[in-house]
Amino acid sequence: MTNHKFNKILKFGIYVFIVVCLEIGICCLKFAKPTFAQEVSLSISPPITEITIQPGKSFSQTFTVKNDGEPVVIVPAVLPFVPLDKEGHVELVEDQNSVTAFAGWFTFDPAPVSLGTTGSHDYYLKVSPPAGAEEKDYYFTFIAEVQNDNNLGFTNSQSQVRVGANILVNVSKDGNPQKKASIIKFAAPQLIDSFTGLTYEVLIGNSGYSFFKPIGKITVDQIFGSTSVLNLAPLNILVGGEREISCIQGENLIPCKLPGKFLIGIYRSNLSFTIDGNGESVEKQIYTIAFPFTILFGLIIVFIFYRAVRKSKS
Amino acid sequence: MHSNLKFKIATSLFAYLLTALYAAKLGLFAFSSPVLAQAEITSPNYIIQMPNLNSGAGLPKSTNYNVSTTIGQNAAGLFSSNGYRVKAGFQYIYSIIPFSFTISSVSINLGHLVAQTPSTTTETLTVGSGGAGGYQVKASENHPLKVISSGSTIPDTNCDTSCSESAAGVWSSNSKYGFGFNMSGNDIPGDFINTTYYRQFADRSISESPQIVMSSIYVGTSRQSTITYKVNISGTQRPGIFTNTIMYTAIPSY
Repeated sequence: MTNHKFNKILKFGIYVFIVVCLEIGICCLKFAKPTFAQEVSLSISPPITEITIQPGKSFSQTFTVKNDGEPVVIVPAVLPFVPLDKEGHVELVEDQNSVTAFAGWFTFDPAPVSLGTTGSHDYYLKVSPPAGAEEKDYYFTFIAEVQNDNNLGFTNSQSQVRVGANILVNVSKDGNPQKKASIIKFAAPQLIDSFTGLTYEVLIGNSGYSFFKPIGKITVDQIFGSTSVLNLAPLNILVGGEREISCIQGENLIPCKLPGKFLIGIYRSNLSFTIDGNGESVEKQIYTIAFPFTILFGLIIVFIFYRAVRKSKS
Repeated sequence: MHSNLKFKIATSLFAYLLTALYAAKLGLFAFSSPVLAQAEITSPNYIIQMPNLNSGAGLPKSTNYNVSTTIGQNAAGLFSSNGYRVKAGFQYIYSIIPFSFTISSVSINLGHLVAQTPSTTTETLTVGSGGAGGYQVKASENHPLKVISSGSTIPDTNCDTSCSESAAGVWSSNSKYGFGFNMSGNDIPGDFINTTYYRQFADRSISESPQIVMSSIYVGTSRQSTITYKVNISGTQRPGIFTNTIMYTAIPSY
């Protein structure tokens, strides 16, 4: 074999070696960094829209959907919902009959939209209750859904993401639907230890014909003492439903709890609110007695111990 | 000599093409690796001093959304000439913060399944409900893990004794088979007592309703939970590529 031929064979061998090394390297990269690990992060605003509208009229609302994850394709939808519980959660109604029943109410571009990282899209949703629509409440959720296919070639679960924003629609010819509230529950313990605090349960029902917010407060008077005020959170209560109402401090929803580390005496608590800040006040009063039982039990134990020590000495 | 030159040119070209091809392949992988962009809320906070805009014809729009605006309201009970009154956003929350939901990965690789050797994998769910009063995240599956071509399934777990889509149970035995999930972190259902408690996903193919996996009645800016998926198969399980789709729906409270 000449030197020239040997060089050729050597060069070819080196290339084969490089090719094999590169192939192995790429295989390792494939397993070390799977390209299917895709984060999805969507946001939507505004989170709620409340409309009182005459039948036959239209209103357009803009929903902004923003993507802070990897590029995605989203499709919009509007689904009716019913209240799920007393905490303001929703149960989407996804059967085709319910969805198509309201298809004529909403106009929007249903085409899939590609959103790059940090990309956003404005959906223009036109709400048009037909002229013959019954005067009552209708509840919907505007949904942005990420489209993806499960065709990855290995055993897996694929996550599909949807974010939504609620739309409360009251159809009314005169804009004055009858609103009626009732206090289902306003409760606190009748007897408490001075150190346990005083927490209230507020459950308000809607027996009228349109959703409303309670605007009011709990005023707590200590007999022969100071007065404290807890502001009710103005949360929507839907027709035919009940809702547990929390209190509000600044922009934060908090439990309705009387501040103070030591309570003693008789406390008169008065719940009062109006519907959407208008009309007559709805009220209920309850009483609570706070007594330092812990201190009393402590003293009794000390007394018993003292008696026992004295007895043993004598 | 002439043929030698041709051979040299041919081998050089071949080498050049191979190098370029692999460089491109490597570059492709480098650029297609996951971008783990954390959801970031950068909107400035505004307080709308005069929320009752009374414009009637306008749209509450723009990139800086006018949260807590009221359009078309002249006085309580009266319509504007357009025939509607609208409130957008929660009237007691003035900050411009969208409702956001993040899932750390949309593909849950359950790996190569070995009989009586549970396979688990996790992902993170993050909710920002700063602009809303509360929220819920519901989950459901389109069907149990299934080989689409043959219809062979890995059933939803029944845990060691019992569990369902709405009630968790202990699942620690390697001789109990199926597919289920556990949750830990913020705002999760109370029945996930510890890491051994699992539930089935609600199965939409048999009309089960999606179940809440995260919820709160309070405002939260970055509520986070970890979901652990678990699958365990028996020795008689037919082989195949099992797949399903888990639907997560995140909605603010009304």
